[in-house]
Amino acid sequence: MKRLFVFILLSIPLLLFLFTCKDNTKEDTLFLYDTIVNIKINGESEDLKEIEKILELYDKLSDNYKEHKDVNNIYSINKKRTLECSYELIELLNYSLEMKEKTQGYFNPLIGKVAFLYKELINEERTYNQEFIDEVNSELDKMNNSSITIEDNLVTINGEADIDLGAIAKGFALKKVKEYLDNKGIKNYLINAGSSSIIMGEKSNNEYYKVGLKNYTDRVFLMKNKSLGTSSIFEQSIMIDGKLFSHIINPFTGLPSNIYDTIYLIGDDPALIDAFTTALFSLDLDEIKRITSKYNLDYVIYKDNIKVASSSEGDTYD
Amino acid sequence: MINFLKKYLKEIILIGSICLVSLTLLLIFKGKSEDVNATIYVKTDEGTKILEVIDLSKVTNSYEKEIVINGKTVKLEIKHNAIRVIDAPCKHKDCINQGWTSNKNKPIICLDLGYTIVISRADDADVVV
Repeated sequence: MKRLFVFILLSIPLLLFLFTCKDNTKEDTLFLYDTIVNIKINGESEDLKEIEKILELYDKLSDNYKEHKDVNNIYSINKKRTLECSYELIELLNYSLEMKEKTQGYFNPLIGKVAFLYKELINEERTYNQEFIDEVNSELDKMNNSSITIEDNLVTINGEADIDLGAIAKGFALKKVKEYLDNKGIKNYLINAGSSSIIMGEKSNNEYYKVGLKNYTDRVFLMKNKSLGTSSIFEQSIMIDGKLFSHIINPFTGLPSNIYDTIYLIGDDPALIDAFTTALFSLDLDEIKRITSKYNLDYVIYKDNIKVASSSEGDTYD
Repeated sequence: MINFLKKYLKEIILIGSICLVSLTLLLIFKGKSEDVNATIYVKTDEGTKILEVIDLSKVTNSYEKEIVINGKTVKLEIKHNAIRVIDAPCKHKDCINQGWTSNKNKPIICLDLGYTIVISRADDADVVV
């Protein structure tokens, strides 16, 4: 009895010590897609490396500002107009054309030159004046008279527009990461690509992740096994005549949008969500409700610090 | 009671020592989670690299520090659990305008020079969007 008593008492501190030992969480931070990507998984070092490889690959493929010596990318296609491309880039481009259809043109992969003009405006290298508006309209015409054709592994831009996949690249890369994690059976993960595209499994013990909203601090989402996309007027915004506009350009009007302040989309497919957080920013609420219902997406929308619409009353998504 | 203590004195001392060691280890691990670090990441041709990690929790008096990023000098001000950029040769000075950060979900980002400063600490939200 005495020995049993001593054994139990000795086990308590040992158990305490074991409890405080680190779990198998692997973390890393990368500088990709012109933002920070945080990776946290409960897995092996090889899994972390593989995820980083996937994210780095799609960052290079979608880069439309510089060439990379080891891969043909969007910059190369824009420069050469016809180019043989890898399977992964062809897949990404085909997806962009598919999303153009699904968003009824509110996401357009050929918006490159229009987007470039607005980037100059955001960086204060240009002024918003009639000359700027005329140039935007001219590039819009070129975009509407351009197309992308893909035959086998040959990509051709027909017309004068440039490709820009900034609106879907992160989401598509995260989709590939999610496929890897699902195949490996890794359930505990949180990957945050610049706060605008996030995928998450579940925390240990089947718990929910707590997602804070930096502009709406009275609210918290509880989420697991979901993807989250965010578009916000507060990120890379443009000031025109004293009003704030988002960097998201309506491909039909060539104008930046300010119907909403922030749109949060929640669903299962991060690539779909990434494309739609761009597209929906230019649509009215009825259209948003129709589209999100069709594609089984949850949404929360803010304007002037007020929640103007949400797909459900609660803030729990799983 | 005194007889009990006398009889099992060795066992009590042994168990007490083990509990003390375990408690110390518990405090060490718990203490580590309260550390606030500023990690400076730099984008290089070979990928993202960590330039430096600064333990902000150990700072008692604020001080200034210069770091060299891709050949350019950036000046930081560091105080207890917070950091900011006070001078940088970048075009838009976004890093300076961001001011102090002490929150893991509000990193300082400079796309011009290709660096970011990320705070790591225990926090309420797992992620902030």
